[in-house]
Amino acid sequence: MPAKSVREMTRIERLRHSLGARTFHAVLLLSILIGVLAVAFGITLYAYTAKTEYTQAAEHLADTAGSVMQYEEQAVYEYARKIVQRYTDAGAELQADPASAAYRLQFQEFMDDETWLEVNALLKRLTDSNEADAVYVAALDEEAMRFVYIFDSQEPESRELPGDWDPLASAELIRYKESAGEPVSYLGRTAEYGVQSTGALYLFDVNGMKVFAFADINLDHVMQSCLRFLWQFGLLLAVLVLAGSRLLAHQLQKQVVDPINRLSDAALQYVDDKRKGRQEAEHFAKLGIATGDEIENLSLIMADMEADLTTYIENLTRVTGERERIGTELNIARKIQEGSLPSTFPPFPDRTEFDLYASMHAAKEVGGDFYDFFLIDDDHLALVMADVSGKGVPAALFMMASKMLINNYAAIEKDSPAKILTAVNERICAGNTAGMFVTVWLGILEISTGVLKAANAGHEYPILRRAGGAFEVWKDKHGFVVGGMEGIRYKEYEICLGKGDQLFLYTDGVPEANDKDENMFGIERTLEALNSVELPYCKNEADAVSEAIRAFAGKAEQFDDITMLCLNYYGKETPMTETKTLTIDAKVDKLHDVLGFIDAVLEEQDCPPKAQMQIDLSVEELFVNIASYAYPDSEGQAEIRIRTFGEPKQAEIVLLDSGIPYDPTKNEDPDITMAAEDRDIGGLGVFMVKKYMDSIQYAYENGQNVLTITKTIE
Amino acid sequence: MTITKTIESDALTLALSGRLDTTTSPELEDEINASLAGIHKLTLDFTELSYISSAGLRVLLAAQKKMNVQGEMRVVGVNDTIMEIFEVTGFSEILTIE
Repeated sequence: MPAKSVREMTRIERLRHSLGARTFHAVLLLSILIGVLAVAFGITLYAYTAKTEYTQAAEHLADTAGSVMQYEEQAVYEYARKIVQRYTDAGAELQADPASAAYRLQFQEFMDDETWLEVNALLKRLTDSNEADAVYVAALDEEAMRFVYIFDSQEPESRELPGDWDPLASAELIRYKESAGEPVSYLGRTAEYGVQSTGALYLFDVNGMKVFAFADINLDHVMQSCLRFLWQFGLLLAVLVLAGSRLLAHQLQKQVVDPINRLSDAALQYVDDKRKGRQEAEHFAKLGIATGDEIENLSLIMADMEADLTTYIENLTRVTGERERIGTELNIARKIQEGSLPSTFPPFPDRTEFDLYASMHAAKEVGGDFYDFFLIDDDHLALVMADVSGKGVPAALFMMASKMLINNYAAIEKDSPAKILTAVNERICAGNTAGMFVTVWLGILEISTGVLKAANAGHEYPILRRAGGAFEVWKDKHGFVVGGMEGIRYKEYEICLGKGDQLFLYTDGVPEANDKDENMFGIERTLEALNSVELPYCKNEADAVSEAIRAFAGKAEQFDDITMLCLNYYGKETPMTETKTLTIDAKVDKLHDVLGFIDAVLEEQDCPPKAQMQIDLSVEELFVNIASYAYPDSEGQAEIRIRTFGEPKQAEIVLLDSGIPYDPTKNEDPDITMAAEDRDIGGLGVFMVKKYMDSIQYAYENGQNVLTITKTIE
Repeated sequence: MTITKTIESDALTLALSGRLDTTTSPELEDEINASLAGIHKLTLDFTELSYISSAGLRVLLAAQKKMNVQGEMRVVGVNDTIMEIFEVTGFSEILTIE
């Protein structure tokens, strides 16, 4: 794969990348390879044949020369003997320079010898008739490694004279000595004669020197014609190869590359048009590729695909738009539903006789569960926990209607949950064409006395904890579900709540929460989670159950809405104080005002000095953080709320600011084991807060940092 | 917070009373920076000190780093609550507390 896509390439890069260019290169390379091999083979064959032929010719000629010599054998022998004798007699010193006058003088008398002239003429005719270069007779001086010439066929001007000599190679000598009646040959190259084939036939010995008839055939002209052939052949090959591969590449370009390029251009155009929203519908069909092969097939398939895609995209666009619209509406519905449930805690900051906390996690965008609580009058608190049959939009619609009806009838029948449910049931049944129903637990607490009147319309059992005891299921009497049947008379019962008692209400989403193996969370685990809470306080219990369900469910999808409500009842002798609020400039020099505000509340509640000091310390660290960092470019305010609640009594301090979002609980703890030189003071403040407070929680709500700390103060 | 300062040749004693917090710790820092020249022995008397926050700890750390170079520093009269702060923050390992 190339590193770049075709779209990103320059023109030159595309050309290099093209199939045509590649084919051209490949064919060229292959042809050159084959050409070189063919030439090499041709030359080898030619050289071998030439060598064999000329070797044989030289041998034949030498043989013929030998036969001619036999005709005049006595005279030839005699003449040879004289030459060799004179050569030997001349001695090494004179031999050394065969061209010197003194040496030539030794042989002067043999230059007019008739035998010499006749034999030379004979050999000359032999040479001419065989197109050889030279035929000659020479004795071999094996000591000095020389040819010593005796007869020579050549023209007088280039003729080797008797007694002249040429150096003899040892390889030559060894070869020649193999001749005994049969001619031998030697192929050699010398500077003087070039490449030549020499045939030799042994004639006789003279004075210990062997005399041979030799025939030379020069091969230089053979080599030259070979070279000429070579470059002519090479040139022809080059022209053929170039033309052939060009033609092939051209064909490939026309038949394959161009159609593919047109297809890819059409694809690019298609993508571009789709991006820019152009309505061109026939990018591939209009190409009209008719190569009659796989490429035409491909273009037809692309055209079909484009048509299918166009239809598909139209459908998808429509469906997606529809889905988005529904999604948006569901989102708004969810917000309306969430907004209909009271979600500010503590819900009644000025009521110190009780505290409560509730939460709902819907399984779908909108759910069928709901909780509700409201003060009917100054002394009556209504608590509702309900679960509508089914899920999703229908359940949510039904839930809203049920909630409104309960709320409305509670205002009329403020004293009796049974009467309220009976009335609500009648109303719901009257218009219930969809056959839906809702399970409801409704309780009305007389705040001053702690008497809780309750009616259960097919809902889960409530869970109750008496002060100092454990959470236990309260098995109350069940009536039929609301909306199930007309004319139901619901019954109610009373529970008397004392100081420190707690009531936990929930929907079946709690005990029926699944883990990935479809095991149910169950009521036992619910009780376990509730009883694991160390500091009894409505939010702690609700958080503990939520956390236990989350840990239990793991990655399993939430199947049902999970809704719960927890009430702490204290009555008149309450540890709760009203929430006190201080709004103050977020400036370090306001620190003593803040601490003064906190200390006043704590001293009134008889807070132990050590706990008070630790709360002061924590509030100081957090307030100074806000004062120093929350409003880097402007001045802002901080709000501090304090209240006490619970048994044992706890103080809860909430610090709010509208500055940049910052969660100090995410700070990494400092390393407190380092030596003084390495210590950095950063993060120590928050670290101390974490150490000294029972809990520290951060949330970012409505554009505010909300930091809540609690500490037991008895 | 009030600071009572006693110098005997190269020994400086600073007795603190009240609260050493974000607003008062700069006073101590200024006092230490101004008085530390030529001092080889620094004593911080916490007998009357009721409260210390991280701002105060920061000043103590800076003072300890300085005195590590030019002599010694000790903290005396530390009450239980402040001792606990020193322990929680690891300052008990750094300071010489008597």
